[in-house]
Amino acid sequence: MTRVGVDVGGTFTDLVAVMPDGTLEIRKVASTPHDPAVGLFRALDALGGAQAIDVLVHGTTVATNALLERRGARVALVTTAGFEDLLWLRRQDRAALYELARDHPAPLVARQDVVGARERMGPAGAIEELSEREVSRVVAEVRALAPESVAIALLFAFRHPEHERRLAAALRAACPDVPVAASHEVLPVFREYERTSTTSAEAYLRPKIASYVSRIAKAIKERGVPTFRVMTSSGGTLGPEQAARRAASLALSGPAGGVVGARIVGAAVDARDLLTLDMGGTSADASLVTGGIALTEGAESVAGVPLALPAILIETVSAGGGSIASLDDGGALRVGPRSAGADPGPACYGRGGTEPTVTDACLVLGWLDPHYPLADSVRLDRAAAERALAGLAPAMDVCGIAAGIIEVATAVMARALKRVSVARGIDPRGMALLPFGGAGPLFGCALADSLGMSRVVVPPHPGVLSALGLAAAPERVDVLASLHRPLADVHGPELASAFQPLMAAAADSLPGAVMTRFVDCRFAGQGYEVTVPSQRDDPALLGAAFLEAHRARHGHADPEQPVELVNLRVVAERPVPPAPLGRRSGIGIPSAGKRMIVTRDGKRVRADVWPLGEIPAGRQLTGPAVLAGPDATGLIEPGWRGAVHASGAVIVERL
Amino acid sequence: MRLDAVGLEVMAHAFASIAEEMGLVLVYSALSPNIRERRDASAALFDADGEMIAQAAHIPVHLGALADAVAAVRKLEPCPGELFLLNDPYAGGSHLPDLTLIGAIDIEGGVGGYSVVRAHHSDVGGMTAGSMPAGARELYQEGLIIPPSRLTPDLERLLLANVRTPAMRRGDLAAQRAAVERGAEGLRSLARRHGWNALRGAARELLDYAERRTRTVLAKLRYEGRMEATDCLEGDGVIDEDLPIRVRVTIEDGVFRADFAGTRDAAPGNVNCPIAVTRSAVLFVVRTLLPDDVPMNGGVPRAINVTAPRGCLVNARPPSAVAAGNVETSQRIADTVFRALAAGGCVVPAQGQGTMNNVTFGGSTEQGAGWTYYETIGGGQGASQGANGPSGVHVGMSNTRNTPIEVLEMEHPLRVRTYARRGDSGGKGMWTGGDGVVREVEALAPVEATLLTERRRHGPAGSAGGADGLAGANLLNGTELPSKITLRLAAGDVLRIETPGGGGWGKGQNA
Repeated sequence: MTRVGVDVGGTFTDLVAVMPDGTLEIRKVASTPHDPAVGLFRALDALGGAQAIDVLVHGTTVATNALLERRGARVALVTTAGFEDLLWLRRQDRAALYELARDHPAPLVARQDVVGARERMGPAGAIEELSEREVSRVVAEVRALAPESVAIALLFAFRHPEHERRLAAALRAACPDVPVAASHEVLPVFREYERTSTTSAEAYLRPKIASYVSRIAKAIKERGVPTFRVMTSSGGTLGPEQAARRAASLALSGPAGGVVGARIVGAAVDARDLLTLDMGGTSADASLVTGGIALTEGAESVAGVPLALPAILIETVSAGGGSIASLDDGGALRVGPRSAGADPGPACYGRGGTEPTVTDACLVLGWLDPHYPLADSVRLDRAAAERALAGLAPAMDVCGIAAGIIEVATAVMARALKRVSVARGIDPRGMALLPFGGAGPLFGCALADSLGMSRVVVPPHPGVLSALGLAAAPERVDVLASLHRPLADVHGPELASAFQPLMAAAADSLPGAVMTRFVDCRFAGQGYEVTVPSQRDDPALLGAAFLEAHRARHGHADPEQPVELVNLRVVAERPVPPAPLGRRSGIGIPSAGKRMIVTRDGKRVRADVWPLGEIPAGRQLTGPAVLAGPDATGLIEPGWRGAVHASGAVIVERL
Repeated sequence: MRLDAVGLEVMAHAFASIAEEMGLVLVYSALSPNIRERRDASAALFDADGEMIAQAAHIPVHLGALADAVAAVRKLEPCPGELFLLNDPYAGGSHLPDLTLIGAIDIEGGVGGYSVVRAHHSDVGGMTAGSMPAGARELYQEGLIIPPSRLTPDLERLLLANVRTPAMRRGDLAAQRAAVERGAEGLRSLARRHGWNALRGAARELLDYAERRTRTVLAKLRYEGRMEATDCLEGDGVIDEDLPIRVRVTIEDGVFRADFAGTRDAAPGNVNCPIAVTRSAVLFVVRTLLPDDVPMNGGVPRAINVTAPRGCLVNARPPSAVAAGNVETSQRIADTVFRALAAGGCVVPAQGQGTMNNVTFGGSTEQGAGWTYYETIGGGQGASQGANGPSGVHVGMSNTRNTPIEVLEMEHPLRVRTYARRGDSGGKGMWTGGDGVVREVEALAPVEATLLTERRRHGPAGSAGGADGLAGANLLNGTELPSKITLRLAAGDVLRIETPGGGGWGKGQNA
């Protein structure tokens, strides 16, 4: 069985193949932003046609980019009459507290493409019936707009979907070639603005995603690959037909692959509670894995578009290798949000960049090797990096400036890590930090320090962890339904029967999957829920689990307070055999040796240099040591020591 | 200790993330829609001397006034670990519904700082449901007054016995207390990591840094002539005349001085402000002049000096009523200060809607339990040089969200009939002001409603030749209502609120 993951990023397309004998084949090719499929097939070609692939899993930024660049379909939106402006009124808070001119990003739908339907559902059902005449009028109006896609989002459709169903059926019959997304199908939960926005995003993305996915699926089939799947924001995978109908669930397909990869490496080294940090060129993404499960919640928004679908928890901050350092007029050193990006890139790339970046600081401190090319065969120019840094504070020692940049970048990234842990009542101190991306492992010890953590896991191939995650991702489907009932009113078998239709739907989408049931619970009157596993569908056990979870997360829980069951969730997963993480082949490695580096606190020390991913298992590595891999570099600081795990991962612990 | 450039930035992030955590705990576990959906609440961390170290960016009118709350508590000589509650506008509060919880943080056996959470509770007793009565003439009519006090179970019982919705209040207070505790724990763990002395030094440095940056910006501000302006409130729910607010601004040595001499004496109704709220409004204006990355802490107000004659509308004395002062007069104070800057030739945005459009509903269920609901409605932001004003947003001193219609209708006997942008209500100009909002609510049962609104007579002013925005309107079944009124609705009555558009900026073809 050969499983292949292909992660198409902004700069590189990474491929990891898990071979039947447990070795990994790794390929990295330049991405082709004009048509990401081209890069994907080049990566497959680089793997070699002789290799029979059984399963190919794809992580894509097509949906993310369509949202960022606002290049989706022209959507007609049908709302309840009188509420056509919902997308523009948002939640009425302004875009920036003190910048009065700043406005929110425009919605995905043009105002003249909204059609109000005369009907109204309330909490208890129809207040104003939807007449057949009104259905015909709405259909005619939508047809006259000649949209590429249609979204329907009526008030209270999460509880009473009848009107949405009739409109959707009529529109589908009248415009068979136009996709129609109805809010009760996309996101059957309360809060009309978020539901309308998510449904509009689904309609906006669906034509593009459907054509992209089916084109690739067809080409992949022609290459004789029997199974093709696409990664979703929640860290599961969907077949091409399902992905085409759940386009909005691909919005965070890219970062989700990385978190799944981190979870797999964590499981291999027996670290089930992880903070993960993916450090890229312009930003860093923090996430959380507890008990071996990546936490999924509704994402707040992607590219300024509120999307309330299940997604892996991601907190993004603007600190990456290309982030620019500057001094402000109050004398504080800042890193980001401006970035030198891939072009011109950091000053040390020698492509015309002159402003100091995080990568320049790492080079000046000796953490990166100027003699060893980065993955994009860029040779690093140390003198250029020093010039850029000296420009910040001519009187200061460049190593001091570099150490300062590292310290600030660490503080920015630590804030993202705290948002996914401490801010949710989760104490990071007993957890392991898993940094990845090209430069992430350089900051492992520093970040662990600032969060009081004492264990860092450096994966054997941090630069292609997302692609590995894809290759090893479980097949997963999330099904959701709203319940809105007091816990006290739910007796014995009722909970189990309420779950029945969801289980059937999940089994239908993913036969043979393992089902896990969850209930979103809250104290009656609260606005946000805590998701609790439904143990044996027993209301009493559920109530107790909720109290415990609420206390852990929010610091209080009053057993006297009535509890309400808001949503039911079923997660269907078909796990794949655990990925062997053993040795890889495919790209060269730098040789071991020693070199002088400067630590964060300005000390010049002699560090061992080890070839990351190629160090024999069981080897003890004492800090200071540089872990130099072909796609990433890591650092074991003084006061820490590393042990090489059989998987090739390096487990770094405080002495 | 003098923090270097690096330490400054690192500590700013560390403190800010504690305040963020406090805000999240509150919003995610509170019970009332006003706190959890609308986020009418703020969280901040203060040092032992009572200066703000960090805040979660929530509601401007809260944040500028919290220092007075901490000062009031410090007078009680707090012991480490003690918890205090207050809402007295004349002793650290703003208006009575804002219950402020303050924890004296125990660090190494002493008071290391204060963890503060202010939240607007949708009822604290008084003459009308929702505790935002129109026509109140004395503070006593507006609800239960809590001077700075140690929060004991007895005090909580007393409070709960005096409000219409005790269960909800109890839940909200529990969330508020958990948020205060989260802040205290956050500061303690930071102290453990960095050492308490180093941490204290860092906090001082951060305040100095924010002050330095504020003074730098203010010293560079170009203006000419006298920066003076007058604007007015449209009645107070008791009398209907225009009530003038007057300000003179001077900037010397990077310090922003706002003097309100010439402002009307305190009004008979409830539009009066304690000076803390006035300071908040001036701080807001100054903050909009600063770059986004200046940390918001007690260093910024060090560069601001606010004076007002004792007993005037913006420095009221007990027992003047104040419910609308916090929400409406604060807006007008900010408008007036902006207008003074414009008079001196500074480029500032046109006026936004200048009101929060406060609407309060209350009644009792068929089972006899009380319910209350409070909302404020967005409107047009003023246009700026180079940008149209955003539409349907909160401007100035508020930034609360709306309550989802589906939440509102599931919880209360109310039905929203329309919620729409009020087309063409923004003032024209080179840049157009943002549009207001139309919201129609039908009562499904007998309901008591209170409106505290402004800019129903004079539309928000345009700037640099731009046209004024359209004034707002309140209608009951199509008949116009005054800007401030308490009334009883029967089932089937429809209240329609049309919020003001923002002013336009610059002479344009459209003006």
